[in-house]
Amino acid sequence: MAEVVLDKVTKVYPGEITAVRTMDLQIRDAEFIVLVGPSGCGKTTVLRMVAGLEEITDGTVRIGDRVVNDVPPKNRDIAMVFQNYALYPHMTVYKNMSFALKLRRLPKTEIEQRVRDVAEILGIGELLERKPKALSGGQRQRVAVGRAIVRQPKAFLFDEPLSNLDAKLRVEMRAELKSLHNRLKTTTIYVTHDQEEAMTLGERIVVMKDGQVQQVGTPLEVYGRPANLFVAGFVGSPPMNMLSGKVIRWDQGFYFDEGLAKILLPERLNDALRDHVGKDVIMGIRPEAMNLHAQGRFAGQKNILPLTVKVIEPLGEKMDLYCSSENHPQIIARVDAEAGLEPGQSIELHLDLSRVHIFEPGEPGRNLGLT
Amino acid sequence: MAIRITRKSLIASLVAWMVLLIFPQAEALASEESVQIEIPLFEGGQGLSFFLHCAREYEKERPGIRVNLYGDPRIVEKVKVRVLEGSFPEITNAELSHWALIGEGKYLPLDEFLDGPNWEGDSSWRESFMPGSLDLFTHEDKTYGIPLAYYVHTVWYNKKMFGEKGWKPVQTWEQFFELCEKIKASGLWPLAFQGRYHDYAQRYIEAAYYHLAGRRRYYAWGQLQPGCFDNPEFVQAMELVQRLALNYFQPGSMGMSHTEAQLEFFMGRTAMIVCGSWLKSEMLGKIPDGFEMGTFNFPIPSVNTADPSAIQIQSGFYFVFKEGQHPRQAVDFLRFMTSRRMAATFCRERDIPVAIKGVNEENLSSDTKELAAIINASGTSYGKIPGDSYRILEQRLTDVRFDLLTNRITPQRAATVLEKHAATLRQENLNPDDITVRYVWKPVLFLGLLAAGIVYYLLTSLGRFLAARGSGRVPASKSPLEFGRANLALFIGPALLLYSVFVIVPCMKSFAWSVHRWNGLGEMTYAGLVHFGRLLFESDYFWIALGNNLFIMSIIPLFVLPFSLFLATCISRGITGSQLFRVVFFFPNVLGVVAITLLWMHMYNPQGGVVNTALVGLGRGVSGIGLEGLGTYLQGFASFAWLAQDHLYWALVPMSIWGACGFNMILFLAAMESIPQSLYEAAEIDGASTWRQFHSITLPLIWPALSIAVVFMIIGGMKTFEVIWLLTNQAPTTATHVIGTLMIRSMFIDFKVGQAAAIAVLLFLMVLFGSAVTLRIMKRETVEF
Amino acid sequence: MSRCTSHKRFPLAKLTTYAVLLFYLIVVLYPMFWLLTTSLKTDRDIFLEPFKLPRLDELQWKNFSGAWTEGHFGDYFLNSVLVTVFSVGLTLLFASMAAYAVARFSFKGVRPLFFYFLAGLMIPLQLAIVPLFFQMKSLDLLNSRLGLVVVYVAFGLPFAFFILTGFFKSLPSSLHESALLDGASQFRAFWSVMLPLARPALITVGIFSFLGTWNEFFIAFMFLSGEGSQSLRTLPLGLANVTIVSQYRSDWGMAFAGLVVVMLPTLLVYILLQRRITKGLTVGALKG
Repeated sequence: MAEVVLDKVTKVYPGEITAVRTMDLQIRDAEFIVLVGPSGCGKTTVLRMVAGLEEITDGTVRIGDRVVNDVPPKNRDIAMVFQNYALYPHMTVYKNMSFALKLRRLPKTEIEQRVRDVAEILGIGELLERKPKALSGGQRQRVAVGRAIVRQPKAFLFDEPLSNLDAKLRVEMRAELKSLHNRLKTTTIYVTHDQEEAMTLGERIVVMKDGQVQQVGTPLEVYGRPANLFVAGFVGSPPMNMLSGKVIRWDQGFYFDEGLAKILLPERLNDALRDHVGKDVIMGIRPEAMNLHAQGRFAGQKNILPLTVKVIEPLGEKMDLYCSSENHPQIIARVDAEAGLEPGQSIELHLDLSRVHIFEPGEPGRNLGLT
Repeated sequence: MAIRITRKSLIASLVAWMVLLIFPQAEALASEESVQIEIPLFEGGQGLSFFLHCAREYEKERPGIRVNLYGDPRIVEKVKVRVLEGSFPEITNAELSHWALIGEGKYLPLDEFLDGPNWEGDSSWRESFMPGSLDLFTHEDKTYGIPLAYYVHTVWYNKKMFGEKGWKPVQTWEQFFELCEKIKASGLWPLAFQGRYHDYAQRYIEAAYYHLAGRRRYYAWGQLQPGCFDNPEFVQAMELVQRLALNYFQPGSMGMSHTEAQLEFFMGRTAMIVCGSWLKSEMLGKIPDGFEMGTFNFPIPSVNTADPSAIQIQSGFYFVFKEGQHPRQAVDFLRFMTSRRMAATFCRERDIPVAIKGVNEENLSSDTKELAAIINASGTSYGKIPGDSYRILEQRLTDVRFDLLTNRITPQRAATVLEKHAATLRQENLNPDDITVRYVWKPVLFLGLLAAGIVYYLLTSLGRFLAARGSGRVPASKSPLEFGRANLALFIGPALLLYSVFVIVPCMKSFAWSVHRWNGLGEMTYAGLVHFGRLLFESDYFWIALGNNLFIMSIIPLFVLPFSLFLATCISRGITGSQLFRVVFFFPNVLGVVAITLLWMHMYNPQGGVVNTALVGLGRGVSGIGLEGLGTYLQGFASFAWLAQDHLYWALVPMSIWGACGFNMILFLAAMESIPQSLYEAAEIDGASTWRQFHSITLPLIWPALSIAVVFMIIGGMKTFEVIWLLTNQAPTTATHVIGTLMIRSMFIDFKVGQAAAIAVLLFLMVLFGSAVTLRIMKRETVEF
Repeated sequence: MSRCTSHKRFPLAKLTTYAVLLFYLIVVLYPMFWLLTTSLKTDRDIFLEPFKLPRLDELQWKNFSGAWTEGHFGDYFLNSVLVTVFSVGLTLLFASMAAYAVARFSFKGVRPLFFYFLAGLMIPLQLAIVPLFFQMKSLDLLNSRLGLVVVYVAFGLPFAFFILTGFFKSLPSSLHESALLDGASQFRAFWSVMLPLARPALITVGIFSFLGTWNEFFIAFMFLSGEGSQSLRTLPLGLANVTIVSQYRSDWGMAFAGLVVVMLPTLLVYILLQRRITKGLTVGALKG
């Protein structure tokens, strides 16, 4: 049983710099959870506190059923894969992988067994006698992962392990890591700044900013129901379009007035909007939730946004339209590719109202649709 | 542009000015108009001021003559070099091997002048001297040396102290021992002793033996005749001296220089001291007001075979070089110097008795009046054994004497050892090319190691060479542009020329000279491998010296390296003020070996030096908190003679740590700081303790730096010279020599150039072996991160 | 920045670390402090009360003036400066020229030449010294500062050569070639373009050479022993002499003052340039 629980965990550096503010998080056993956020948001600090490489200023960290605040790293039964792999350059791959096991005085035969098994799984069986400097980046990364696996720890901690690889390798390794997790079923805490990585790998995602958790949820949840402006803008590529405007009451409904057009807001938001009539809000809508034609989900008269096309980026099946209007300098729409569109042309974009979000402006920019 | 030109010309003129400063030294400008006589003098207890005064007075008497008189306590080395060079000064009194020079005819016999008038013209020059004073350097009826001061060795005592305690000067050895007991019982130490120059003990030995064995047998030492050492009288003389040394010499005296010991006497911490008649003169300015000193002659045995009034004198003689520029003028100067007027000036100024008649009575102070009386009353004098062989034996004598004084050897054993050495020397003189093999295993092992090392090195080099051959690497940065012959000469010429002429050529010559026999002055004769044979198979001094080198190369790094590593580890852990520590810890390295050695020489002073005082203080503190045993041990360092022969090498340990840790520490720090932090974190998570991290990560990854440090220490150890040379006051003994000093001694003191070259060759082979093999063994593949 | 993280949990470890470092700091500094204070005491005080600090109104500055004039330390200082400056300068010049040629050009015999110079690294001074002495005598270079300079340069060449060849090899040839195209002669290209680029290596070598020459005793001792050489002595030689002399004259004050005169300038230079010096030393040593 290896769940990891953070209870009001705080980290303050000398000089009053707060890196992590009172973080609560419950990670289930065998869960693959990803901490994601921009640089400096505190995700690595959290990871290091769980590992025991940073002191916890306040709060507790539990691994399994014990509080590990004062337990040194080597006794926490966790394994870590570093961003730069941290392979011992003077030891062979075999020695690198067996080092920790040797320290625990496991019998030689068992060490040998474990190392070879793991090497087999990772496909590095032939590299065991080489030294790190004779390996490629991808191979080194595998060895680093192998070193962690061989320990059979309660939890894996990954600190941006893929950021030193080229794009193609990264995609390959992502898939491998995922399949590894399925196989090993060990609790995994994974840190990355790449939201795409987070989305593909995590069972749950923890979005962080400035030392605070912005939202915890499954990729779908975080993507489809972002808790605030930051999460909404951080997750998803191209990012969600943010339009500023006002809420008005009109004709038995609540509308979003963005200056030129008025867009009918869905009924599910009515309760939330009641207190915001006449106030400034921000409407968020993803590029994929827009269409050139009023078909299907995009049907309707009250969901139109008039814009001018600036740049067209063909993507094969789809195309990205970079548009603007008087009130909005840049709106991106991802629509089915079609011919005949020219830059400078005026168009009308139809919005899928079921995927519209209303946020409070400013910090933190709460999503009014989630209560 | 204009500014650049001015700066350039400024530098150019600066350089030119400096060149002008240096170059004139290469030209010897001597005005040939006036006659110049050159007089290098030993500057010792009698000081130099009188002689300079004398020189100036003489110039007044003889206008047109210039006297270039100068002095130095180590003048003997300079003069020896001059003799080797063949450019002789006119007069000297340096402690050369006079008899050797007499034998080679380098000194001018002075009889024709002695038979002539003295300076005043009222008697013959010879007659103006005290009877017996010229005897010392008369050989086959020819006299070579002229004395001025009468340096007599006697026992000096603190008159005031004696008066207060009711002690009196004595005559026999039994009485002397009784006196010493009385002094000791009163809480004072009887005798101060100039331990670092323990040939002061030779005075006791000679005094005892002369009276026990008689004049004839005393001088038999000169020929190293069989039985001259291993006889009951000599053993008895040794016994007397050992008894005196072990019971009545001031503790710590073995590590004191002569001025330090003499100061002990004047400060009243000891009652007596044996010294030559320059004692007061040497300590002028350091003697407390109101101090009264008196003197009495050496004690004699109750059964006496020689003249009881005999005095032991030492050479303070002046010799004239036959091949100087103006020998006759030099003699004239000597005549002036030994005139009554000048002698009186000397006597008054320095309060030392002179060998010229009719001067002592009026001119000595009360302190030395007793000395004058002893001199006047003496009928014979003895001292300064003639004969070159005795001089060569001296080194052995020094070792034996040291052992005797420190109770490492019995008197009988001492006698036997000396007898054996004398026999060996006699043998050597008869058959210079003969080698008695006394060591077998050591040389075989040594040569075997060298050969094995060379073979190992060659084999591994060959392997690498062949492997690299195949790759056919072309240096990418080599310019295909033609360089041109002229340019080649310009670029490489100066370096090549200097290097070849001043480095390579001499090295080649060394190899050649090592199989020749040469004394630097005469002919060079082929001698085969005799030097190597003698050094490796027969001599013990080579092995002892090698042992000392090995000590320096192995024991000292054992202390220095771990401590430097420890310091580097401490600092690399990241603490406030690390920059300060780094800077300060490196201070000693900037000072240079000479400065460090001299500083520590002062600090090792047995009485009140920093080291001993610190240890004693620490001991008191430690006792204070209850660790009695440790405390007493530490306090026992109160007069510890660090620089005495037997402790010298251990004294090197703190000094080396102090001097070498900074550099090593910086080296290790640099290496440590290039290890990424994440490696340590990974190890931490893997479960490694601090020690394990150090052992498995730090150590292997700083291995290149470690091996460099080791190699430096090994090579440095092999080449040690300055440290030993200075700590032993430029006169190491057999037991304290290192190979480097042994070589210098062979060349400059023993005049055995061939042997010196042989030692150099052996040293070279050892350095080569040491560094090449060590590097090979310690070299692992460089690890990249 | 902590290296071994476990010490965070053990303030005791940190305390002992500090204690050891502070202790050694005192061990290093105290002798120098003692030296300084002792050099300002009277001879009597030096002997009788070695640890008493001199009173501020009793400072014996005459020890220093005596050392400078009578003790000739002024002369020694000048000699050391002259000899060192010339030795280091010439070594750097000749070695860099030769290293440059060997590193960057291929001509007949370049490899043997390289190893020829390299062999000098293995040669201890003592091997050459005996014949060298007599050689210098016949060239009339004994007892002259010029002779010293010549020998120092000759023996400093291998090391400088070794470091500089490595360095010159690493420079890109494009700079050299463009200089030649611009019309420079080979020497001009060397002097104005490549040599300035070699500054880090030159500094490293310069520092090693400087330290070696300034504190050099053995050769100076051998070569400056003869007639009229007193005024030619370099500092280490003079220092050794003065110490010996002072034992005979019990002129302790002057001996200590002389020691201070020798130590202070080097210490000051070091303090000012220490970053450069330590960096140069480690880079050079690790590379070698």
